[in-house]
Amino acid sequence: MDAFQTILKFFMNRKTAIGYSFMALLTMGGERVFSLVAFRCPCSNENFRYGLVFLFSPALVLLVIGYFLNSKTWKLFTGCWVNPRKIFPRGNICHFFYVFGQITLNALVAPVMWLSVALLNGTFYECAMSGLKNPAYLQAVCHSKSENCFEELYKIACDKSSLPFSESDELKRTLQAQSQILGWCVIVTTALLSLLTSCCASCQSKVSHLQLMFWRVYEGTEKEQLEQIFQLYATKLSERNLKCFFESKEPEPISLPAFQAWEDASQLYSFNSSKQHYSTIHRLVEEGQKGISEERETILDISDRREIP
Amino acid sequence: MDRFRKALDFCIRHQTTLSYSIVSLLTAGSEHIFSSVVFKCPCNSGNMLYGSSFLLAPAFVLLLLGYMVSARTWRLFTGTCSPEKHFQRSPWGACASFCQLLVLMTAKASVAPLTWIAVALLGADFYECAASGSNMTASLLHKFNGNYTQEMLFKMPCNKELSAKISSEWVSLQAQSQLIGWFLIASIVTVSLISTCVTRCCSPVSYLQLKFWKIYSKKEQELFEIKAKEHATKLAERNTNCFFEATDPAPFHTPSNEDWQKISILYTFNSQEQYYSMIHKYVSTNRGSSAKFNEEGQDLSVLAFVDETHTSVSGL
Repeated sequence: MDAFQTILKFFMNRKTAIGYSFMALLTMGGERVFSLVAFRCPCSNENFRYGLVFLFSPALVLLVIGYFLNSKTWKLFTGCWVNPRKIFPRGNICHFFYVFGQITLNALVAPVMWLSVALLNGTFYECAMSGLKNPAYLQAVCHSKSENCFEELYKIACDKSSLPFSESDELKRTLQAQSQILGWCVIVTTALLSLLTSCCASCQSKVSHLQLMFWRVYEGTEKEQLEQIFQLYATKLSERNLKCFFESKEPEPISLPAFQAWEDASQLYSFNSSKQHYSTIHRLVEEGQKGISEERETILDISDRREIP
Repeated sequence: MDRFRKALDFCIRHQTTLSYSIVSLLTAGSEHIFSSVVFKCPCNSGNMLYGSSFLLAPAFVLLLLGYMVSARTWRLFTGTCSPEKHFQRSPWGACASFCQLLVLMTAKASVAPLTWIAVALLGADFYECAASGSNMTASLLHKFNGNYTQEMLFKMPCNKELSAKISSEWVSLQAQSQLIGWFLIASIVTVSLISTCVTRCCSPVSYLQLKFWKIYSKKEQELFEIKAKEHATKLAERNTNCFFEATDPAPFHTPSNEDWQKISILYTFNSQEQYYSMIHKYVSTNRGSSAKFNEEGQDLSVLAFVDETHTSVSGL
């Protein structure tokens, strides 16, 4: 049992890396399934549209799912219709865009993975670009091939063109090569951008490294504690209510947070370098209600930055 | 069960070596998958670009991933350009230490990219495709035998007979690729041996003390995680209980922001003192308030020991 615990702890320590690898494998598997089972290039004038739809729609779906699964989205938007001041607090309009930008960056991971895997495979791009009727592009691809190339490029994906085998094979290879080079460009650019933004964000951090580590641990523990206390109080309250209902007794008082306290606790936390608070609830408990309505100083929300949905 | 325990202990003790080996094996495996499934040389003027992108782009991405995953990167960068006043060492000392760590980080992050390049060169497909598209190879081949044109060279990776003919008459690009691959492996091994020797030679710390220091750093890191979790649990419990019961919070002492900043500075060893980490120095010099705390050490930073395996709370 002890050995099992050690192995479990080892994997839990690397859950972010394991989560990303799992997502990558899932994307690769899904892309394979799509291109083998569902994708049939029409080999007509619809090639371009068909290929682009297969390339970008799953990416869009993954982006939307990414938004859904990020808890920050719901923290940001819950109750915004009733109280728009929540999203656009006085004197800090950019807060919404900053947080939304962070959520978008997190949600973009899966679509970019899909795009890079799909481009490395080459099937979708090959179908799409063989249907592109752009004269400059056709000139570049068909420049040393027979005359039919210009008219029949879209048929090469199904091997139905009247071009000789060597030419159509070469055209297919060229299109696949273009797709794979584009795929590598996407991967390299994304990796470089994410490293640079993470380094910049880290560099600008007002919090030292070890305190940041402690903060992450605190955020995780507070989440667990909140879950537990929700369960506890929900059980107590429902037991009391049902007991009083069935036994027709007067209910004993149970103290629960007021509506305004819930509102204040649900706000996204922003770091204040002069204080020692690690979350909204921490600040609420230490300073009371008045602390929350003050204007936000700096914005830094660490906990969900690398959260796996 | 006992044997399983022993195997597990062995794995934990050598987890750094094991993780590097697993990374190398995974890289080698994915290179095989790539070259057999994904790679199709276009056999035209795009050969050079295609072959080099398959050779170099994954290596670059693996290097970037190596930087991102390494705990040292974030330890080094966090708060460096923040406008707040931190406990800074002299700019020259900080720069030298920074450069030394950057070199060390690059060396550790280069394991996967170099494995990829070496295995890809040994596999020979990528290099053959890239070289058959290069103008230099074409001009050398034309000089050797005027019958061979650049067009024929382009088609070489797709045409087995042409490839065999050119290999037997002139030079085999596949053999060239494998030679370069072996040369790369040999030079990496030599360079790493020499640099390890030089580093150990120049170390101001004796062998046994260095060993103790490594073990101390690891233990302190482990205990830091455990203590941080305990402290965070107590603080979170107090906060959530006070929130629900609407009571005043009991006073709870947690280290201040300044305390955290003091222990987050890169520690450098000083042979006059017996401190093994910044936390050690901090608690021994009256919580950082004595003058001794500000004394700087020689340039042997403790971050040389920070293990990449301790990424649990570093953010990735």
